[in-house]
Amino acid sequence: MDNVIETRDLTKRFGRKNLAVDSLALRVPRGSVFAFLGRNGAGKTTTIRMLLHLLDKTAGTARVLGLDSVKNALEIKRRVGFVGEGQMMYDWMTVGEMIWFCKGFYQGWNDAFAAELKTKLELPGKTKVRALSRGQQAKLALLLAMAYRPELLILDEPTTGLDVVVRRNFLEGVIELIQEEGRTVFFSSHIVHEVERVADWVGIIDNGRLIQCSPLEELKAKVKRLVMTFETVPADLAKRLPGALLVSEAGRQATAIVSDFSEDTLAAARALGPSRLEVEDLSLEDIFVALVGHPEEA
Amino acid sequence: MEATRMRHPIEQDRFPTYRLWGRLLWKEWREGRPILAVGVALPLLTLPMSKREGMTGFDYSVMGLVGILLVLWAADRARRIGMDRGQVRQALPIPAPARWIFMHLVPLLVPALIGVAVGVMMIAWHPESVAFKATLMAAIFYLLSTFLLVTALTPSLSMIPAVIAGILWLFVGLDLVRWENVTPQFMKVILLSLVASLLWEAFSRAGWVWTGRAVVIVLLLTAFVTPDAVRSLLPHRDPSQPPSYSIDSISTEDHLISVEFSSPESLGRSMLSYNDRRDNFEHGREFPYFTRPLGFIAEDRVLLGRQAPDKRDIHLSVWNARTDEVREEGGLMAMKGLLAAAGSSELSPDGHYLLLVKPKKELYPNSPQFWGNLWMADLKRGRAVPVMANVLLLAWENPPAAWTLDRLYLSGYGIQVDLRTMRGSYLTPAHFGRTP
Repeated sequence: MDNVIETRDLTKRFGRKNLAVDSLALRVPRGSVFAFLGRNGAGKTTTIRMLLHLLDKTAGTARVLGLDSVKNALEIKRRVGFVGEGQMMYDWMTVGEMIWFCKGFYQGWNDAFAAELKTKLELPGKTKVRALSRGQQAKLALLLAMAYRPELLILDEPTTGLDVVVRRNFLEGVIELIQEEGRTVFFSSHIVHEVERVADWVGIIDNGRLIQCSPLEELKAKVKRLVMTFETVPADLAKRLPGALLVSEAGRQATAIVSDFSEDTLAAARALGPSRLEVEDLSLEDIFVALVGHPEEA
Repeated sequence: MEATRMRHPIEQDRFPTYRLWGRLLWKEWREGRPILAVGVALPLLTLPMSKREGMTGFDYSVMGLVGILLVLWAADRARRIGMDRGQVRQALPIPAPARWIFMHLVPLLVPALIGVAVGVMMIAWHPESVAFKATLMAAIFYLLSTFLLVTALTPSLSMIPAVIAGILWLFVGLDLVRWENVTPQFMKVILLSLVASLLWEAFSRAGWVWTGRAVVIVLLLTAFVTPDAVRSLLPHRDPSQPPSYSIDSISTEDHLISVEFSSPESLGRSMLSYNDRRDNFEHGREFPYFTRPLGFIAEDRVLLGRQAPDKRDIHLSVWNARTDEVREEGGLMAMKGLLAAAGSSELSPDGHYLLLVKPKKELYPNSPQFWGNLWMADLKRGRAVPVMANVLLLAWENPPAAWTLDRLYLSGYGIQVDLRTMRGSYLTPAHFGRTP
């Protein structure tokens, strides 16, 4: 498969103790909508900043659109659209000036497309950037990142600070716009339930390590919830159930979330002797919580 | 795995650099334009009044205002660098040299141009006594140093402390806008501020924010906090220092010459004003810093001395106040700062000797009496030596001097100075009417 992002042992260390990204091996297929998930501080932004060489890596390699992230940093910026978390813009410029200003840096800038986006995103041309709402600022950043039709759009927590309605429209709008031409979207988020509606690939990073990277459907097929009813819940249930991530008990009922679900998992569950056994699908949010293990923060 | 990718228009055509540079220039122009306009216009607007004699409070206010405007802009500009990091560095594909030039060098043009305007203003006031190039360069570097200081401090300390530091530097530095007085300290501030700005950028890029802050603060403290700067900021006088009785006027029966801006702490230059009471003739002229009148040689001719505080040599000149001619008369060697510390002077009638009284300590706080040392300058031999120490003198009068060919008597104080041996002593009682 053709990957637009490919990292090998990508590592970033701040000082001696803080290992922000640990030997990351990430592959983002071309044409995918790839959600890069993780809790706050998991290493998402650090990874993205290394991909765009906004931050020096400590070790490893990263290739974006087949180009080395360090040697070809300028070329990558020319071909990748990027919207950073809370990205600052020149607040004294009007929207029109901002668009004109950014146009000067991209050979592939498409005026007609920029105008179309401006209309679609309902951006007022003569308003100063500082007078825009956060939602409008996020939309403007998106316009500036898309108007030159980048092959890859990287969004780092693009919906942070936006209200629920704007967030929903924003993400769906982005995907609709960019995917019309089969381009790739790579976006990070910690608001998992919103991702499920738009992503087709998922990567989960926790404490700097990539713990999951697969198509969303494959992930959902692999991670299941088993609800079992017993006369007496076996004390060693978690040990006897292969791939158990989370186990909880409530009276005679035990619930287990398992990874790598298969017939073998089912057979192992049956061997525990439940009077009743149900297999349930999980939402991405449930899977995420089970994998990173801190439900109160997720 | 090597990706196969679409060909991009950028790879087919050379990217038009002029468009990129044009946009960045436009941005800098928009961000600096109002400051540039006001900063350049204000000093130049004072030029039509340049025929006045000497700089007035208005002129100093204009200079101060322009400086404060620049300080505020520097703080705002430093804040905008944060935006540049957000926009120019993060999102926009700008080659490193262009990014560096536009983030660091181009903004320096604004303080440089305002410095030119301030320099022109100063030169217009002092056409006869100012070194053109030196004054211009000093004004430019002075405003550059202010700009860099505030720019380096803002990201580390936030805007308000940076503005306060910038304004303090303005007031400390305003006195120094003369090339010969500023070179070492100015160069230190400029270089360390520049290094601090660049180091801050490097550290913040690596994510070492606190280390970067610490380095910036240490560097700037090294540059900024010098013993002289601290002393000049302190409102009180150091009790170990002698009281200040600078020579502010000398007079004869018919003539008076007074100094209007003579203190090293005052702004501007030494303004000497001459008055002939017989025909009510008045004339003023500005002289380089630290110029003091030392005595009348003839009716309209005044002996002037100039000594920089950190130099031993005193430059002598004679000013004919009637014709406004100045003639250099050589110099003499003395201790550092003698002229600045001298409270009064007496010139011998033949112009050969000059008595200088150097106050040391008040008898008690605010006392009109003080302890001082007497110095005698031999103007023909070009040297000045202490002739008597710890003499109790009165602050409001010059010691009444009576000169003979080989002696000076200070009547009322019982002091005599032997001009051949250059030694002073108290007069001993005469024993009239006694025979050995």
